Amino acid sequence: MFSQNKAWISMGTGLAFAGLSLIIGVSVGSVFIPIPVSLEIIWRILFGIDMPPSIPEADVSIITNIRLPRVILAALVGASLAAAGTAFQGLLRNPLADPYTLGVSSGSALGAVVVLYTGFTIPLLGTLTLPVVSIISGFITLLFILTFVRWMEQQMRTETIILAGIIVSSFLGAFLSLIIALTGNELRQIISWLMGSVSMRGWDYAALVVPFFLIGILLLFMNIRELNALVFGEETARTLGVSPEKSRITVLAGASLLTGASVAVSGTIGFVGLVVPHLVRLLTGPDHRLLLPLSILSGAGFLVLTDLAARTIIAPTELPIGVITAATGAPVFGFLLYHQRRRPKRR
Amino acid sequence: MLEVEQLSGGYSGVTVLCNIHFKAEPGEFVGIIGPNGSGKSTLLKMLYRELHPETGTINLNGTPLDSLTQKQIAAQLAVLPQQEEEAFSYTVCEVVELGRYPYQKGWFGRTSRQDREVVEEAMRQTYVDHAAHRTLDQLSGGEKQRVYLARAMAQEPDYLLLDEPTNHLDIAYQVHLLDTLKQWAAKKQMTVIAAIHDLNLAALYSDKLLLLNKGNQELLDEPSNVLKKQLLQRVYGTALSRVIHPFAPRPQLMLEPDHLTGNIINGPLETLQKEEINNELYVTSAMDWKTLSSAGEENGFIWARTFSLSMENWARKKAAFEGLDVSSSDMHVEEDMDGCIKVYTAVINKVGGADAGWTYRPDFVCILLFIDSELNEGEMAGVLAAAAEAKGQAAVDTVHNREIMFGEGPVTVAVSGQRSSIDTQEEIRRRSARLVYNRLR
Repeated sequence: MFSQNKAWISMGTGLAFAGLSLIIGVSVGSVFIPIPVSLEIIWRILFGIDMPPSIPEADVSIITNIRLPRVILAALVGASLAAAGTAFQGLLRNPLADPYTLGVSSGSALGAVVVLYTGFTIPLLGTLTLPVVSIISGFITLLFILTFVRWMEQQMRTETIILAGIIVSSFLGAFLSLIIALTGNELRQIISWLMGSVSMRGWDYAALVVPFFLIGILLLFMNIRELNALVFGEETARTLGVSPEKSRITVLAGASLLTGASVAVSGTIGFVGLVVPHLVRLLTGPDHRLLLPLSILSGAGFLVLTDLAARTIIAPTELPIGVITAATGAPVFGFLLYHQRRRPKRR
Repeated sequence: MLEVEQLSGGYSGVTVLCNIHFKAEPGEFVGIIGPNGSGKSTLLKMLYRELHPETGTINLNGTPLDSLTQKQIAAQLAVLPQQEEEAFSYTVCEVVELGRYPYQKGWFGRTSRQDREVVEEAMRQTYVDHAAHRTLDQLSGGEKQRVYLARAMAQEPDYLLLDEPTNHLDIAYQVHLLDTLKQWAAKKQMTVIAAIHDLNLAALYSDKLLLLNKGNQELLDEPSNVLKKQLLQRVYGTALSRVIHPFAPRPQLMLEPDHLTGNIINGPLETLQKEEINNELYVTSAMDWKTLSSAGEENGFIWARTFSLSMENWARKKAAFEGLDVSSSDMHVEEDMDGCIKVYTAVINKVGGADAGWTYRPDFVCILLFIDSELNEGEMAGVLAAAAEAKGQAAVDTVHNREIMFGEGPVTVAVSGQRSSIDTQEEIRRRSARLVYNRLR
């Protein structure tokens, strides 16, 4: 029973942060568009109203075709990774878990790298070949891990799932390394994809993520109180009325969908899924009813801002977004951790 | 009502429990006892469906456990686990609110006003309401235990299962916790089923005890019938004695550590000697004697190494009040023929009363009876009674002018606790009485 005030203030702050990040992300870049102008453009796009002549055509084009899809993709990926990280940390009762713990991302990454290496395209999909193959390979990985665990033990304990994930992920990692070693011309492309980026993806990519995002988020929200109970161990959760088997599978599926889809469209962007939930938990406490929605909002805002930094710091060259997430996230994380640990504990 | 019938089961194919059957009524406190590995936790796990039984049924209020969902079970049956895992710093309030989970409907299950009231009430009852917004890692072990109890109470259960609830708690918390549970059980008609290691606590709080032995149901009965010396010695494989609680009608069990109970001293009667300390006469010994005295110290029974032989000062005061004088006491030791019983007597004579026809009258007798044998409390009381009778008989037979004498003075019986040549208590009583009588006559 967190106090309602705290909940409203936290949610309000989260919404404001995400919204502000989006607007700044859309406005700032090689061409600066004043914030009121970009607001008006977005507003008119949303409601399908024609642009007045006072707004330059170039600005409209920059926002609708370049910045908005990019910012929205960044927001979706950031939100997905943060939500998946929150879910994994809660389910595994381990603040060091992240969306890549289960190994689904390795599957997605391998699929993507294979596409980049062979350069094949599936007819009709065109440039979407990469994310679609990546999502499918991530999904196959998840199914394989779950089947493998199920085959080993009926109970499907979390520890066993994690171990199976590590086994599969190391195995796939070997192939990933093999391809990198064999590759010649595509090396730079593969490496930069692996480091993660949301640039030059367009609306197609954003649209591709949306269904996975919605389903994944819904699955997690359905288990938001179950996650709180599971933090106290599966046995305790059961005595509280939770069916651990059902909740565990639903949460894993939701988090894996979010992770797989994110990796498929933007590569393996590190740190967001680990640090954002942790930061939010330091501020709001571990109750998932507040933690999960706030992590989603903060993750979205955080990735939009880091992407902004990635493309503006040494423009026109773009930095890999993973470099920025780590370089900005780590010090903030360290500062908050220092504060939390130094706080005297009452007994 | 909780009914368990023909329950068997265990972990992954290994049968741990066999054929358990019992019933627990509303308001009843059932203690589950048994050695390590006897299946106490396994039984509890089956009751809260962490384990599925191989055979047998468990009924909650007449409904089989198998036909209920996890949520329906949780709304009737709460568990206070032995040890909680905690990964993040939840606040007390958030933890207790988890107890409302079984009552919250729908995917997102909003917290209703009623939920809130139940949570607050549970926190009040367990005295953690002052810490509602503190996080768990700021609490002591005892406080955490109470938070988890509050969470269980927020489930508003008809049945509360506890696995070693008093582990890691100091004695005050143990008593407080169990007192509270006992009260709730009565007030809310809640059935409490607790696995308890401490047999004495189990005896004090349980209405019924279920004794498990190697996965089998050894006995289910009220504590005084289950906590029998022979039975427990067989089941637990250790020596113990049963005593009564001084104030409560429940048995208690005493352990028998080797280093205190195993010592045999040859000829304990030999170690006795008279000693004068501050002008008072004492009999002292090198070993402790289990002692029952009519002087009424402690609960009657004490362990002692020094025994006062003279109450001369006391006798003088009393005599002075009656206008008489007191002669010096007359001290004797006597042993029976095979050296197993030794009696010390101190007789204090009143001097005077010439008009009543006597000059010396033995008036006050202090008797110390040492027996090198093994007697239980009842037998010691028997010996004490026999010695007192012998003293009375001696008084009657030495009557002066038909006045009763030896009216005052304590009788003390001390035993070495070692097995001796005379082993029937009848014999000990007879010999002790004769020894006392002979000595005084």
